Amino acid sequence: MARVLVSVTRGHPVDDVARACAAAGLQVEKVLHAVGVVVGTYDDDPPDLAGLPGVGSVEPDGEVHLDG
Amino acid sequence: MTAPFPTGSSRPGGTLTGRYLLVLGDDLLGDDDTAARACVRELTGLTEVTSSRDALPLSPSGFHPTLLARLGVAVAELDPDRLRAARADRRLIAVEPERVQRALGSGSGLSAEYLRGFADAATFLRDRAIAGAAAEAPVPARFGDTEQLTWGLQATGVDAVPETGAGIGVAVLDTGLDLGHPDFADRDIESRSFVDGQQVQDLQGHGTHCVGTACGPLSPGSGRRYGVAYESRILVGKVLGDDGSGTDAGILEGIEWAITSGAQIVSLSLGADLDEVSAAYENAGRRALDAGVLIIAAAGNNAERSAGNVGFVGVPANSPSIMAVGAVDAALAIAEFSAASSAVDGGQVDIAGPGVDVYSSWPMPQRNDTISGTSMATPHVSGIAALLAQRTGARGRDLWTGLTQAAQRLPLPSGDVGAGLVRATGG
Repeated sequence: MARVLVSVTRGHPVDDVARACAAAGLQVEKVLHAVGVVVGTYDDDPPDLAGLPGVGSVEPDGEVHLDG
Repeated sequence: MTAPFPTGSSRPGGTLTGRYLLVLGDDLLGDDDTAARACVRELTGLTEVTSSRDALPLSPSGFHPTLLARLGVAVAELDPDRLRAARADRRLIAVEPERVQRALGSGSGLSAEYLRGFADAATFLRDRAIAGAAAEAPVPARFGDTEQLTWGLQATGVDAVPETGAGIGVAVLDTGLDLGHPDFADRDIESRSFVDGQQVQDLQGHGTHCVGTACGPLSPGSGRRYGVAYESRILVGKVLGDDGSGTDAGILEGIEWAITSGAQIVSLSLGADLDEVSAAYENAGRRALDAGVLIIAAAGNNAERSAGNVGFVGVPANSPSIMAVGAVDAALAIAEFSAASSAVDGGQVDIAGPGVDVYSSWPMPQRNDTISGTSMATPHVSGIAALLAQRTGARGRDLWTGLTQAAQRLPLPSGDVGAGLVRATGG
């Protein structure tokens, strides 16, 4: 399973983009309205999300560490 | 892009030309002017530099930087950003506005009389600057913890302002907080974990230390004061597990929670050493600013300066809409580990804070610890942002501007410390 972060462009309702991503095959985990990001997963082939209206970018979820 | 600084020569009655005299340090001077030219090119952003060593007439149009190589002085136009960078550049002895002593002729070249006069003035200026630097150089600031205050609170002037952070929400997204720590008893704390299977309770220590610096008490139960915004509302989001790592998704979820929970400031002492901007964090930073929330993040600790490696600002601090924080030590020198600005859009260090040997809270029973990192510099900035927000009512972008305007200029490259050392006074 892979997790991706979908950034929603300005002017597009985040819920609409989340629905479109789900219809394209993304298993939507979280819809973050305030930051404009949809978090979702897929099992095998990555769904083609880049061309969907309101999708600004799709990037893999990464690991982050403390900085001290 | 910043508009070019207007030249003063067209100002009626103006006594400044609008250009600046850059007095070059000895390291730039030598038998040839290669290093000096390179420095002037870098500071002006212009490739064409006219030098007194050239056979050509000196900068007849006034639009090219002019290097008087033997005198160690250059004349150049600098927009405000470049002026700021030049004044912070340690290769220069001084940067002063060029003054007009008399109206110059409108001919196409500079007269020999003007050049002789200018050379005399430049020599005088350089000698004076060097003598002044030797005689008047301030003793380098070297702070130290006292019985009352940490060095970081002294250096940033936190103890000199009346603000407390009251009414301001500061979200610290990290490894959580020791919720039973006596220094946080009776505080207004809201908390939530975004790490599967782990409670907010901090078993790592890093989060408790960061919360302590940003929001710790005025009078701890024991020891010196280490906290900045001691009456702020504390929002603790556990986005890093007790092993000190987390995921972008969890951190973004934490930012979402902080914004919707009413935080005005989000403090992120975390990152990944990636030299590219994440669209997701930039989306978050921009929308946060739109909502009046300022996200402040550690620049990163990937430098090893003693080995010549200055590192680079990583994710998420390299997002243009997220304020990146570098670290200085108690002598206000750049920290060995503090990452420098990167070339990506938004990859600049924006401001610096105390980040070496920082004393703060630590999970009980230890109670306190002293550690280092840009992680420690970041909550200083976040706490001071809360003081400034309380004082001025500024939020989001205005708060960002207020912090950088109030910063204390340091004699360090802006690529390392941005606008300088965060200060609680001013703004």
